Amino acid sequence: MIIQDSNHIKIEKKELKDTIERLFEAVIIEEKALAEILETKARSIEKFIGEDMYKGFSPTDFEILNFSQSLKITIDQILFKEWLLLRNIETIILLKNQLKEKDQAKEQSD
Amino acid sequence: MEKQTKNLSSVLTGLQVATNHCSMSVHQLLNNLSQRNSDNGFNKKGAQYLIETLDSLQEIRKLALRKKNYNFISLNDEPSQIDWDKLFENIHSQIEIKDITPKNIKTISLSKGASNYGSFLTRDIPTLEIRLVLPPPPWLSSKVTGN
Repeated sequence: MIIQDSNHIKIEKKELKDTIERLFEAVIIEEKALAEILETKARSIEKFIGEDMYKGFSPTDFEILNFSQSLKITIDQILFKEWLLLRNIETIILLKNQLKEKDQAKEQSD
Repeated sequence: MEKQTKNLSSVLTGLQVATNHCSMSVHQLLNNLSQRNSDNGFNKKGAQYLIETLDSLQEIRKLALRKKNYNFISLNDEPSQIDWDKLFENIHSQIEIKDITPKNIKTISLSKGASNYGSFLTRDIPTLEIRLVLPPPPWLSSKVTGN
C-alpha cells in the first residue's frame, strides 16, 4: 500500500488480489459456520419435540415459550449475519471490478 | 477465484439444506403446539415466535439464492450463455409476480412464460388506486376549543 496523501491511498494490484481472496475465504468459512449452527438448531428442535411426536412431547407451556423465544433470537441473529455476508460479497465484486479496471488500464498503457 | 466461487456455491447449497431442515422442525413444533389442549397466552405467544422464526428462515433462503446468483454474474470472469440462462431459470422458478386488478387477484407464474423475458420487462402493470379517508386531525375538531 502506498499512501500518496491523507485522502488518496494507492493499493497495489497484488495486495488487492490478496484482499479479495482473503475476504472470499472468510465469507466461505462464515457461511459454513452458520449452516452448522442452523443444522444444530434443527436437531435441537427435534430433540425438544422428542422422537415420538405425540408421546414424547411433554414440556410445560412456559418451557415451550422460552424455547420458541430463544430459537427466534438465534435465527434472527443468523439472518442479520447473512445480510452482512451479502454486503461482504458485494464488496468482493466491487474490488474485483477495480482489479479488472487496473488490468485494462495496464493493457492500454502497454 | 473460480474454485472459491464453486466452494461458496456448494456452501450456500449446504446452508439452504440446513435452513430447510430447520423450517421442517419448526413446522413440527408448531403442529405439536396446535395439538395441545391448553389454549392460553403462553401457547399463543410461543406460536407467534415460531411463525416469526419461519419468516426469518424464509429470508435466509432468499439471501442464499441471491448470493448464488451474484456468483454467476460477477465473480466469474466471463459468464457463459449457459450461466445466464441458469440464472434466470433460478429467478423464474422462485418468483411469482402478482398482477393486482380491482376485481380479482391473478397470479402469473413466470416459470411458464420465462422464454418471453422481454415482454415481461415492458409489460403494463395494472395499478390499484387506494383512497384512504382519514378522520380529521384532533386540532380541527370542534370539540377542541383551546385556551
